[in-house]
Amino acid sequence: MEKVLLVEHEKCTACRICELVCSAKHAGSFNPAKARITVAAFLEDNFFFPLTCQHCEEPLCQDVCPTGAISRHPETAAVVIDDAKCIGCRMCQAACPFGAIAYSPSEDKVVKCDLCGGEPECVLFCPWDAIKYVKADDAALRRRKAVGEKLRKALQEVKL
Amino acid sequence: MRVRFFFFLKDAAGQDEVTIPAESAPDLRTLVRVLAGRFGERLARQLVTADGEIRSDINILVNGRNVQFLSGADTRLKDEDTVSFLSAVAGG
Amino acid sequence: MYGWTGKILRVNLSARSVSVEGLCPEIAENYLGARGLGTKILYDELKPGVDPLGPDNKIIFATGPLTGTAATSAGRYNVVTKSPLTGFIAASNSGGYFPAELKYAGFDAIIVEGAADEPVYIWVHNGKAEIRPAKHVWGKNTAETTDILVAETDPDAKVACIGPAGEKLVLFACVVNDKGRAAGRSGVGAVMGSKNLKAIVVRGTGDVKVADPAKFREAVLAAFKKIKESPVTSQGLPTYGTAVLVNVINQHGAFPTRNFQTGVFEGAEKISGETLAATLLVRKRACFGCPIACGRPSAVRSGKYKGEGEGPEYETIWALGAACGVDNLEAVTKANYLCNELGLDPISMGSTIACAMELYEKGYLPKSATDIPLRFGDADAVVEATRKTGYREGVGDLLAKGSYRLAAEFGHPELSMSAKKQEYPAYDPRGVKGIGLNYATSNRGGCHVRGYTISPEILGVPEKIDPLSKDGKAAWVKAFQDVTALVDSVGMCLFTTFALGAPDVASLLEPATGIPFPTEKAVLAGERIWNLERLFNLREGLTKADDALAPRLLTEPMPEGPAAGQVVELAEMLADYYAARGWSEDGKPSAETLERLGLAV
Repeated sequence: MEKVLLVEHEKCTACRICELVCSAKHAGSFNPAKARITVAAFLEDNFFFPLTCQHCEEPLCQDVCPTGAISRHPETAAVVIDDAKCIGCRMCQAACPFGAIAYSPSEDKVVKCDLCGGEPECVLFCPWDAIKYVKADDAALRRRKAVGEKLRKALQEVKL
Repeated sequence: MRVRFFFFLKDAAGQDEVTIPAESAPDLRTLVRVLAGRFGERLARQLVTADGEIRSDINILVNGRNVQFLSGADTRLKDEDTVSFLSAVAGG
Repeated sequence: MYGWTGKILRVNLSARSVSVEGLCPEIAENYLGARGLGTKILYDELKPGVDPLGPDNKIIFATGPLTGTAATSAGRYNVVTKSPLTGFIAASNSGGYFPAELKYAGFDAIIVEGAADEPVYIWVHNGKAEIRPAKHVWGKNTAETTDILVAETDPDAKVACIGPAGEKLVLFACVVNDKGRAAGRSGVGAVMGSKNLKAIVVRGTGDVKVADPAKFREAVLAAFKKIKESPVTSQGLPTYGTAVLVNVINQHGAFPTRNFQTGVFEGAEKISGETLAATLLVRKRACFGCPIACGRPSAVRSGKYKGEGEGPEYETIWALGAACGVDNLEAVTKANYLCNELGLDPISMGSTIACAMELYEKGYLPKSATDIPLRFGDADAVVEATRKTGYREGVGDLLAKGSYRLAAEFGHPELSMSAKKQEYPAYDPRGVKGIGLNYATSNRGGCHVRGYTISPEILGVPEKIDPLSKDGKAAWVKAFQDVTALVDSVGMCLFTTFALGAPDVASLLEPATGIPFPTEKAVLAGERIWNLERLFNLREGLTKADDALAPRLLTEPMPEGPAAGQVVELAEMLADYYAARGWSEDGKPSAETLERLGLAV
């Protein structure tokens, strides 16, 4: 069965270990600026939220990509970028409603979460199980969609 | 005697303290057995190991002295004593 | 270099110049970073006898080789300088987000020298630095300053700054980073203030690389596992924070109450970690890269102590609470918020108020000398005295000197509960003997985080030893002091040592730096750092007489509780300690010891 990343932000402590291990795995160095996951830490409000690619069912990034470089991985169902096809136009970055795609100047390419090929490093290291990689059963999907819905509302409010 | 629970042991016991007569628990080993029986599995697991020994990672004080420096599980108890059970914690 | 960035930023505020220097690999290997590196730089560069608040003093902000990596709780830095409170070395440790950001900005350390002629801050970003005017934030508290400087630099910038207390040279002013984390002790904030340096603001998107990523990852996973398996670091600290100790230490009769007049506080339950968790705690929060998360965002929702912020920690609850006979947790929390905002060390603040209260109640501090009555148990007096100290108003101008100078001024220095003029933290050594030896010998004066023997003496980590015995304590104190110097210098948090030991630290250090670090070599580095701090202090005029405790602890038996009748047998423990350290009878490292540590001239 397909597995998804499930974030329970109430458990997050804003330690940012997910950012550290993500950058180490994907970029070979400890550097939050290169991480494919970021803890949105609103410290004043004590609200911490690890944000990364939602691997949407209808990915806008995929829709806008002019070269067809973005596809769904057949095994992990992750939305992934084929570096060979990518021309670096960053349309996907503009289209993503979660800011989950970034252009990495040092790597000179557009980067995003690829679920580490099915063994997400952030999940392994999160001390509080705030990020889980679980079977996309009803409960997990409901939770993920509920979070997505909250975010959508919040984003719309910001736009207004 | 006055028996006090702190931290996770308080949660497990469901209360701060309890009074136990010394005649039903003349030493610490007996007291732990009495408490484990009285408060059930959740507290018992935190007090004793699978072999029935008092767990080494909790601190038990009799009148503020760690029983390690008294007579351990054989420490004699009197009605006027205060026995404190503290789960493993640290700070600074 | 791996682990280290290999670069040091030097800022001369008098000349208004900035330059970048390489980190000497040999110094890095021998002194690691953070506390050790800062000490080495200060020892090599500072002329003996300089005025701590004059332009000749230097202040160093240093990270460790593990800072900014995924090593457990390695998000820390040290502020190292000559202390205006003690006249000896200061090395104050803090976490939060600032230290790792400094590393990503490209530097292992910043050395600040000279003094600016008007308020400035230093803006450090991706390998560059500039000195900027700070007149517009001078006088502002640490939270306001942080917000303003973030707004004018980078939304992701991190700020370490002083509040009004540092500007006004309060001798125990601290440096506050990320609003709620502090390099708290020994008056490092006053040194910034004396240089007209309001803040350091950092932002970086650079790499921190380790030599052997695969091996390092394995070591981090192993350390994580131990942190999660220890009930202390996986449950106790995350659930209750450090305040968990209020009940523990009070149960042992070693909770210093009313300026150490007794060790049992009748109001302990009301200010305990359990009460804090049940009433004011908002949620737990971690410093950068920390799986423990002892941080306590808290809020007092209403009433006269209304406020929001971080803490209080155990030491703070004690200092602003029990030390002053106060059992009102909301008042303690409010006074702690004030310490964070104004930039005050809450331990020295509370203990100085406690000393003033004893002086006042005994009639040594005349009523005419203070604009507020200072009686034990008066919660409002503690809050108000804290505020006044931050601004040096009224009696706050007296309190700003710390308890030793205050008590001496009114003819009773013996009522200052301090070592080397720095106030003790929250453990009465009559009930915990080893920590008394540690207070007396700590290179930065009265302090618990140089050699935290509370672990074995009270908590039973790694094993239980009798707190009331003097025997064998010298060896424990030495061992803890050396390992702590190691942990502080690699950039890790001392709290990891509740679950990890020196071999774990070495197992992280080696793959991170690519330099072989067997455990003995790592611990030897800690011992070397301890001895270099001692050499610094000796050069500043320290004698055996400075390795002392207040007469109360030596001659007045504990009046009640489990430690009733006890005094600290310091002389015997101190002789053992000097011998264990390989020091002479007057406390100087022997030629053989210096040779063994590679410190011989």
